[in-house]
Amino acid sequence: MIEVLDSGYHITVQDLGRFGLSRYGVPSAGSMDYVSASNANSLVGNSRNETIFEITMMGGKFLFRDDISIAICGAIFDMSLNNKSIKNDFRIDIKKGDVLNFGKALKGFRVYLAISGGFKVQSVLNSTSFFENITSEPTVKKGDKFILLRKKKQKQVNFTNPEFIFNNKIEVFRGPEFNLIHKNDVKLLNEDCFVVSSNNRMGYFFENGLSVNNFSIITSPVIPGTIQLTPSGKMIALMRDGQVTGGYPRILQMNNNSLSVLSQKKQGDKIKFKLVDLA
Amino acid sequence: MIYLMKKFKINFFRYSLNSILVNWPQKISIEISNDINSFCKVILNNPDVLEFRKGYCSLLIIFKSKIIDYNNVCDTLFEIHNNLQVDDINVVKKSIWEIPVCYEKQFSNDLDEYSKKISLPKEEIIQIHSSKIYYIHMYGFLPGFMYLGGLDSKLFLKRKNIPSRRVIKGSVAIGGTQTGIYPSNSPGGWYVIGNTPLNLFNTSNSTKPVIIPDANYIKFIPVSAEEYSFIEYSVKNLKYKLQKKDYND
Repeated sequence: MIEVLDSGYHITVQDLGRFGLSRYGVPSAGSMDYVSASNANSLVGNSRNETIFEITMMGGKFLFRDDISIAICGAIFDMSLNNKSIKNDFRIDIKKGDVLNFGKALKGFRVYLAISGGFKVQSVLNSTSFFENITSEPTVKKGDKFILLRKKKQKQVNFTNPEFIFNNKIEVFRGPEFNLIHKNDVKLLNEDCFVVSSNNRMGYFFENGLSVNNFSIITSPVIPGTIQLTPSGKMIALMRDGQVTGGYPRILQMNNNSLSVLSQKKQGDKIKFKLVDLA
Repeated sequence: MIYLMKKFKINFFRYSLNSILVNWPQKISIEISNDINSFCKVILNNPDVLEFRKGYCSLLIIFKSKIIDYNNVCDTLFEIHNNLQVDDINVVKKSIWEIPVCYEKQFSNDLDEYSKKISLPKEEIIQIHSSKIYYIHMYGFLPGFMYLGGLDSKLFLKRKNIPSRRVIKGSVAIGGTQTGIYPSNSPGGWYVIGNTPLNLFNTSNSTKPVIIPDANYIKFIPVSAEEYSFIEYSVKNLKYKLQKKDYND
């Protein structure tokens, strides 16, 4: 069993998301950074879709009541096991009674804790990913206890270079309304840095943007990774918990890797878009 | 009754590695919705399709894996649309589902302000709002939130400048040219004029979590606060039976 001694700033439970029900308005949810979540699961022999802890920004303390292997991937946190500092991207053998403590994020914003064989979380609408009004709780709480599942090991999957997520280039495709934007704004998109102003699991917002405009579209589908242009010229990048439809022009679209890279950015971080062709 | 089918011109846009956006003529109409819905029905049976997201006049088809031959997939989709038979369209009879709504003070936080802003007495607002039937174009925004068509233009009002931080579950509200029901607590910028005791979204049904299918109609039935409590009680005890009537064009 794993007991949560401190639930930090924001900890949730995620798998790769909830699929098949978005036509009823159900968002995908799922790990913000697929790359790191998959790396962590793969290090402990789990399937990519195994349920994992997503720990954001700072805090989180876990007491292990059984022996088990774990792996931590994603952002670099100031963290310790029984007060001894530990590192990302290794399989770590935990002994009964061990305490794992997360301090502040030093580099990146979201870190993933995978437990070998998984842990028990109720699946709601085909997924264990926490989401307000769908799962019974929106976040992990102090005192929560999770039973270990000890599922059979999976074949090792690919491990992506963990440095990849710390890059600041966001590869984007042209969205369906890309052609609405003015030539000068296309130049801005190609050349300027954009500064993250705030973020949550639904979306990323930026301090600077493009020209003020009066574009709007009839409410249409969007997916995680869709970048919308608001009338103020500011952009909203929709993330995993983003709604399924939207009324702002969809000017750009990120792929899963770009979603991972952006998920590791925090307020004040700068990113650069790189327009690529969808081939 | 045999429904006449109208087919529209569609075009395709490569949206992401594993999704294609299909666009219909960009306007809101039930005929376009019908065309989209009959197309969806066929698409859903395709083993390569993971799911779809619907707009008023567009459809995003999400495939299980990366699209290898985009042009070929588009040709196939075009053919499917082209070959839709009259029989595929609207074979399911549409219903008008009755949604009990209490418009009384404790359930209609914004009704006074809304009434002043559109210069119509409350009684008339309630009368107009509850006399129409509304078409469910699609679900979106929140799990179980219906995009409804059919609001009387006398009730149009630009949404609030500053959205409310918390609109409670069941709130029936008006914003811009639309009316809708909040299926769960949420921030929102629409004017709340009533509340329904119904649960419109059910997380225990993992194949179809909504109670009322889209492409159907709903009608708001005014109820008193007393009736509201009674319905709320029977909903809680799973004894409430949602009423519906046949819809005839």
